[in-house]
Amino acid sequence: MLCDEAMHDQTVRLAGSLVAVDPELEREFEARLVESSTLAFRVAYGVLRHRQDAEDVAQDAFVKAYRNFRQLRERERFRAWLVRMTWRLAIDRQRNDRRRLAREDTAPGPFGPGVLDDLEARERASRLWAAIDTLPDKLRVAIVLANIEEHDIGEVARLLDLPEGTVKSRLFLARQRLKELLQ
Amino acid sequence: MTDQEIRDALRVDPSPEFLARVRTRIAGEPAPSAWRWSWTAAAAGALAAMVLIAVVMSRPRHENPSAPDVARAFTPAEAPAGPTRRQTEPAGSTAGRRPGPSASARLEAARASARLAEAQSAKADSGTRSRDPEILIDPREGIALQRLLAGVTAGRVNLEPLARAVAQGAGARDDLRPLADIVIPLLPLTPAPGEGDRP
Repeated sequence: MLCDEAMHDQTVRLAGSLVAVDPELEREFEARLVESSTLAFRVAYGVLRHRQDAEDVAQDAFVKAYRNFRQLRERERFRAWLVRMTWRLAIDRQRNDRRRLAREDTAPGPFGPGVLDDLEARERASRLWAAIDTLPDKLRVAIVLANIEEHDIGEVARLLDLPEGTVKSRLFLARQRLKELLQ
Repeated sequence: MTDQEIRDALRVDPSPEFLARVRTRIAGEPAPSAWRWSWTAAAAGALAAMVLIAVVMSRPRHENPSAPDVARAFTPAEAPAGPTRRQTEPAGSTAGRRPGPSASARLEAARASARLAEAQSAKADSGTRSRDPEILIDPREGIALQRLLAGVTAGRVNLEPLARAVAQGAGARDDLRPLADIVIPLLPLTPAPGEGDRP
């Protein structure tokens, strides 16, 4: 028994010496987590429109980001990196989880009782998101990001690592397509 | 209008426990530096494997490359004719037949061929394992010797007449007398009658 405890202590010491936690890195990641948590959640929510699922996906994205944080040389690009990772994870989840549609029908709705409490508004929101879901992925991410935290075109371009002109044309196309679909 | 609706829909905040849950989950993860260690170890392992493969591939081989070729060229003519036919025949088809001398010879040739193949594969294995020089024997000679030995062992070959003939040949050699020189007499060449005359 004593021998087991000694071995355990030795193992912990050895692991600690090999995998030393970098306090500076930890602090930096904590700061990024605090500043980007809402953004990641909203990106996931823009795809899934389910609070709990969006939190799960955002959590997965942060864990993935934490694992690879040392790799990220340009730390100021953390937000863009996180947004793209969260978007991919959310899309994967939406594609894999076929039960979502049934659940969304019975869910109380993402818009809150104070904003959309009448049936007509809910119906319109449902049609709007159904139309957004039919957009190609490139247009869809552009329109969602442009409407999160009131990002301007420059910010969307930075998050997607695209030229501003490309983002502008994609937003134009997305709006035009949505207009056609909702008429 | 559409943008405003999307904006309103996306103005949703995560639950207050969200950050705490993310921190708890991250606390259970290995530190970011573990990534570097694991990949360093993997890279070192891959490098060691490559060096090992390079060393094994660069080792000189002491095999006789011509031996298998000779055996391959020889075997189809001699050995497989018998066993192939025998193996493809049904088991009961030979019941009423009497094995003649040619059949037994084919069987023996097949056995010898199998033994030769075994010996060559063993030789090839030992050639790759050790650096000792090999004794190279022509496979045809090997087969002939193996057949002879097998025949003697099985009692099919009787060596007594051979031994007698050798002994008689040795005795007869003593009785031989040297031959006299062969003398060829000169032949006179004379023209035939009428040859050379013009009509």
